[in-house]
Amino acid sequence: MTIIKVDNLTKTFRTVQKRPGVRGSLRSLFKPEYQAIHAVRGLDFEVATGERLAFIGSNGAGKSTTIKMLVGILHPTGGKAEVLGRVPWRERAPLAYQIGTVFGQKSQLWYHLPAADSFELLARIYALDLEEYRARLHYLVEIFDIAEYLHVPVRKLSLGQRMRCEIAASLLHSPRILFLDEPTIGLDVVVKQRIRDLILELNEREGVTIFLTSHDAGDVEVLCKRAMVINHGEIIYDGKVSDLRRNYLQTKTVSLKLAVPWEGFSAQGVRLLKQRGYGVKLEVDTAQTSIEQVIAQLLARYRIADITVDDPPMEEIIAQIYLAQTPLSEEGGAC
Amino acid sequence: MKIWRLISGYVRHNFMAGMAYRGAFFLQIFGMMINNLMLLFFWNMMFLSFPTLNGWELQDIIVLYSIVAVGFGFSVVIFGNASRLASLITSGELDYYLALPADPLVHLLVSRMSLSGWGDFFFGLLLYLFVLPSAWRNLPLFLLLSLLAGLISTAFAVLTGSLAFWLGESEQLAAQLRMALLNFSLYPVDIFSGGVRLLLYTIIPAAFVGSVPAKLLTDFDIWWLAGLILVTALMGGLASWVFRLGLRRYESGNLVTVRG
Repeated sequence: MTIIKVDNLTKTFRTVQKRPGVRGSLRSLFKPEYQAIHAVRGLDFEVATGERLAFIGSNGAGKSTTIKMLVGILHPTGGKAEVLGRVPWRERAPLAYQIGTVFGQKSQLWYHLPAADSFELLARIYALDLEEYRARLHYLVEIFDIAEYLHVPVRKLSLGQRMRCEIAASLLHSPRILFLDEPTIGLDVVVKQRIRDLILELNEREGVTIFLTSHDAGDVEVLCKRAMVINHGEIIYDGKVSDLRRNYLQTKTVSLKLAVPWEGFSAQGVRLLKQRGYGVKLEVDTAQTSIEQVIAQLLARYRIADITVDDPPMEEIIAQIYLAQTPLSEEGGAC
Repeated sequence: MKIWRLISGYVRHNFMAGMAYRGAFFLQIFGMMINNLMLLFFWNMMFLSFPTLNGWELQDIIVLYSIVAVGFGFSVVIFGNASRLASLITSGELDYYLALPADPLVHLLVSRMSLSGWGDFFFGLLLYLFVLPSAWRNLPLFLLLSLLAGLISTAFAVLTGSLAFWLGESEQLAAQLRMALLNFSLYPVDIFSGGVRLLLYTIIPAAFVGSVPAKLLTDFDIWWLAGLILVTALMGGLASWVFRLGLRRYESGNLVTVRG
C-alpha cells in the first residue's frame, strides 16, 4: 500500500540579492533584486507502508525542504503530495496526529526540564488518553532504556541520551510514519549504532514507515533497504541500498596509528592513500577482500596504537552517482 | 477543551521551568515592580503641581496604571512568546509548532512565560486593591477589563510580529511598535488631539488598552464595554487571519535550536 505519494513537487524560494556595501544595502532596500532558489525541482516518488527509506544528499540538496513539505511545515511552489491520503499543507493538523518527526538539530524537549515533563506536555498536545499515554510511556521507556534519565533535566544529558529521549518523544502518539532528519548527527559510533538498532526494532515491531535523511553512509547501509539520492533538488538515484553498496560503497578507509615505523604493505584490493610518520591511511576495496582479513594481516605485521574504519563520505558517493548518471540524463534516460 | 488542557499544561511547565532558577525568578518579578513604582512616582510628582490634566486626576492615572499593568502582565505571562514571534519566523523556529497537531498560533504563544510579567501583574493588582477606594467591589469588572486589555495587546504583538512573514528581519520594528502601544496606553488619551488621537484608536490601539478600560471602571457604560469586547474580538480575529496568511509564505530555516 502506498503511504506517501509525491508528484512533480517543487519549491522555489525567493531571496533578495544584496549588493555589497552600504550603498548596495540602500539600493536593495528601495529597488530589491530577487533571486529564485530552486530548492526542490519536480520530485516524483512513492513510498510503501512499512518501508525504510533513506533520503540522502549533500548540504543544500533539498532534503529538509522535501521533508518539511511532506509534514506540512512548508507550502510547495508547485506539484502534489499525499501523505496517508492527506495533502500535508492543507490538512496539517489531522496529519500531525499520525506522523512523528525528529529533527536532529532541533530539540522538542525542554532544555531546563526533565524529559518526563516534556513527555507529559506532548501527551496534552496530542490529546492522548491518560491511561493509554501511561502504558505507551512505560513501553517506550523500556525499549529505549531511558528510565534512569527520565527525571534528569535535559540540559544535563549527553547528546546520545538526549537523542534517545527525542525519538521516544516522537513516538508517544504511535505515529504511522516517522520522519528522521539527521538523527545521528554529532553522535559517537557506539551511540549511533544504538540509535540505529532502536529505529530498526521500531520498524519491525510496529511497522512504522521510516523516512530518513542522513549524511552518514553507515546509517543508510544499516537502516534502509531503499535509498533515494537527491542533488540540486532532483532525484539522481532511486534504488536498493544493496545496489548502492555494490556500486558505490565498496571501499572503506582504514586509518592507522602505528607504534612502529611503516615499512609498506601490499595485499589485493588495498591501496595506500596517505602515509606520514606513524600515521597511515589505506583504502580497502571490499569487493576484493574483507576488512577483517586486511586488519588481521596488518596486526600480524605491525604493532598498532589506534585503528579506525570509515565509510566513504556521503559527498563522495553522491559525486560518484552524479558523475555516473550525467551522460545518461543528457540522453534523457536517467532517474 | 483540548486547547485548555494545552494552555494549563504550558502554564504549569513554564512555571516549573522558571522555578528551576528561583533566584532569577523572584529577582525579575521584584525588579519589574520597582520599575513600575518609579514611573508612578513621577506622575505623583506632577499631580502635586497640577491637580488635573484634561479631566484626569491622580486616582484615574492609578486606575489606568493598574489596568495596563495587570493586562500587560497577564498577556506576557500567558502568551509570553508573542514578543518573540518575528524572530521565531525569521529563524525558522515555527517548524516545531507546525509539526504538532495543536493550533500553531495558540501553541506558540503559550509556550513561553515572561517572568517579569508576574511583577507587572502583581504590581497592578496590589496597586488597585490597596490604593483605590471600593476596589474590592469592582474587582470582577477590573479583572475583565484587564483581560480585554491584555488580549488586545497580545493580538497587536501577533500582528506586528507577523510582519516578518512579509518583511523578513523585522524584530526591531515589531519591538518598537509594541513599545509604542505600551507607552501610549499609559497616558490618558484625552491629552492627545487630532491625528495622534485617531492613531491611538486605530493603528496603534493604545486607547483600548489603557484609557477606555480605565474610564469604564470609574464611569461604567454598557455600550462602551460592548464596544471594547467587539474591538478585542476583531483584533483577535484579524491577528489570527494575518498569521495564517503569513504561514503560506513561511520559509523555515536551519538554525540549531533547543527549547528553553
